Amino acid sequence: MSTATLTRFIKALRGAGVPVSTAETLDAARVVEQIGFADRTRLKTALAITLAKTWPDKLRFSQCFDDFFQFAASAAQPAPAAGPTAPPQGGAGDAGGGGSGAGGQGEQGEQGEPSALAQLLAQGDRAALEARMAQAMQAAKVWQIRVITQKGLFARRVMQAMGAQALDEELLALEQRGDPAAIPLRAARTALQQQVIEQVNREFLLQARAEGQGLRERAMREVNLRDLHEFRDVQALVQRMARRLMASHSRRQQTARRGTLDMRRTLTASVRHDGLPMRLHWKKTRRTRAQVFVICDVSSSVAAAARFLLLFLYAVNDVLPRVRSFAFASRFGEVSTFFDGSSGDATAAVDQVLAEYAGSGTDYAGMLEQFWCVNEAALNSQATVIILGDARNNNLPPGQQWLQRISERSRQVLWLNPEGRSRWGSGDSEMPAYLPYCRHALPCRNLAQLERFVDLLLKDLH
Amino acid sequence: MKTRIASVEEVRSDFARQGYICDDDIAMAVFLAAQLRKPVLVEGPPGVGKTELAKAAAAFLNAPLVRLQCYEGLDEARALYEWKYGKQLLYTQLLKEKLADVLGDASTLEASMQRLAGFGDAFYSEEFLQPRPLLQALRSDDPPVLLIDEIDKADQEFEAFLLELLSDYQVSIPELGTVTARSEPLVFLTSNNTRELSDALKRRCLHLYIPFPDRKLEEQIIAARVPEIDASLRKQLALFVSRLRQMDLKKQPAISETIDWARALVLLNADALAPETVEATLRLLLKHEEDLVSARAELPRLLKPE
Repeated sequence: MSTATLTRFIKALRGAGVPVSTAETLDAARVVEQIGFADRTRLKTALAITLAKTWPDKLRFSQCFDDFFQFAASAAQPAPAAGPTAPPQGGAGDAGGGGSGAGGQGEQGEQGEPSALAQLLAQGDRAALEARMAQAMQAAKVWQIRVITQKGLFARRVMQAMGAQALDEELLALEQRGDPAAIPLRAARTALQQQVIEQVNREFLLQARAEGQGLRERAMREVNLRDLHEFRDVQALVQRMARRLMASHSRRQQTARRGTLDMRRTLTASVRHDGLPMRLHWKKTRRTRAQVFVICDVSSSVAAAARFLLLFLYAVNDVLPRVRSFAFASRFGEVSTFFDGSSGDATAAVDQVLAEYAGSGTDYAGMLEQFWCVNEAALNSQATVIILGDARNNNLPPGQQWLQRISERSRQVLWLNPEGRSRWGSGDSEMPAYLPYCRHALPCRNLAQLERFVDLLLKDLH
Repeated sequence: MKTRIASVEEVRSDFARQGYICDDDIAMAVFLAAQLRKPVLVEGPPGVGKTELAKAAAAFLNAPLVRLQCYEGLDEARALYEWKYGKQLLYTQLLKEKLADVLGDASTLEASMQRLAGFGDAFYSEEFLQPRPLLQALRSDDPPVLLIDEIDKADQEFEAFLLELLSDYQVSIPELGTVTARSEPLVFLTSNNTRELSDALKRRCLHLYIPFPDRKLEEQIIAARVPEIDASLRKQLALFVSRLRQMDLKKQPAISETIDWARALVLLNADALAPETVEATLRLLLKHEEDLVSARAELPRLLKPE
């Protein structure tokens, strides 16, 4: 029990979704130095303070700690000497016992002296068995398990380390002799194997989750938005990404920063009084009141992207309070009201919007014209207009003059296109006609690109 | 300041002596903070004794308490230091004539410049420095307990500015250079979670979450703070409050409000929680009209003995 155990625990913790940095790992090591491993509850309290920094993290920590140390606990106790032949198992070795796991010194020999494991099984000494299993798990380095198919291999190694080989030989001998003692022993062996498999399973869940989750998350960020609905916890990921963005952009729109002298203005003002600074001027920063208009194409080809853009924009509601959203496919309309009152979780609202406005036959010119007519008065130099769509106009006229008017009246027009750049302008895509009026036109095919866009937007608006 | 703490029990028992009843989590956090010299970030609902914790720790360690209350728009000038601009300007005016004397015999502009430069940074010296809480804490000879209260109310920039202080106990002042702490302070940061704090800040701190206490702990707290209260009344009171907290309220009653309520009941010579007494004093516990209405409707259930 020491640094190695701690490192493995922290890995398991990361797998459970608690972010732990290297600096915190070092802190944890210092904490362990202070507290020691002996008192479990105390150690748990201390590590929770050091490693888990939000309330949900604390809950996860508690669960993970119990899972992890429940078994490690029995390994800490020295294996009770089950008989004179019990092999001296290398203590609860952090150094990791022999990797080959050849623990089962087949020393029972011909005299008929039963092996240590057989004795334990015959006695039904659960505590001793568990301790032995825990040691065997360490000897077999079960924590190195990575993929699910390794379970059988590791289970076998653990059994070996516990001395199964000797036991099996003995069992065979007994059965050949037709000894009635063979039957309960065989049953006990089967039960033991079950138990080992269960333990290996647990260890797999603890250890491999970290890598599995990291892999999944990376995949989710890179996969095309259209296929994203196949992942179960994508909502949680979007929420988490949005929270991170929000944390880094929140409360940036500050008012006056009284306390810093504006030397230039003070000196300029003092000229009037023959160089006497009669009035002090303080630096101020101006708060901009950005307004965002977002127009989403919700026709079937683009709906997935629209869903995630809306989710994102409403998830960062705290830093972007003034968002008005519009949806269009065959018809056009404002959908801001759907999101009123759905604080934080906009999933249901997005579903509703998509259900109501979904359709086909998009007409971008008509949409732009309608948007212009409805919002001409609302557009000003602080308005940002975001258009999400593939600009595939079914061979209708593009109507870029409306976009020109919109872009002249507002601060900027940003276009998000769920298709790759190489396809802009191919077929019935009118993207080239719209491009001159957009400050930025970006592809948004996956969550990573979407996140980058929202980050850019927030940086720009504050 | 006391430098060594023997054990978590010592923290706990000393806090109890001061009337601050705490569980193992809190005592452990104080113990670790003092041993590892790391700041503690304390989070939890309002009124669970986050600020009190820092005060109790200061009393326990026999250290001075320096408090910085955060608010929106708090900046370095208010938290760390400020130049005494008024004094600087006044001095330049008063010294104008002296300046003429000094520069009188310098014939060229260059010579005067050189002579002026010879005086050093007279106007940006300690003389004109107005220390604010953070600088006070760093320059204190006796290691103080520094309480940075409601850090979530301050802005992002201020949080970033704190990072240097929290990890190395030093700050940079452009005109003076780096100021290192004479003695490392024990830092408590409190937050009511009105916004998410940055990961960088959390990484540098130990993290303590204080939830509302359970019934037993709350009973002990009441006993410590309002010793004159009758034991059976105390029991009823803790039960009532814990049931109240399970309801869907706009604002849940805090520990401080429970204590106020207990004091009020003692003043009224109540020896049991009768519906009329509760009805009359419930305002001490619940501060929103809607909460009062819903609690009154539930009163029989809330008062039902176990």
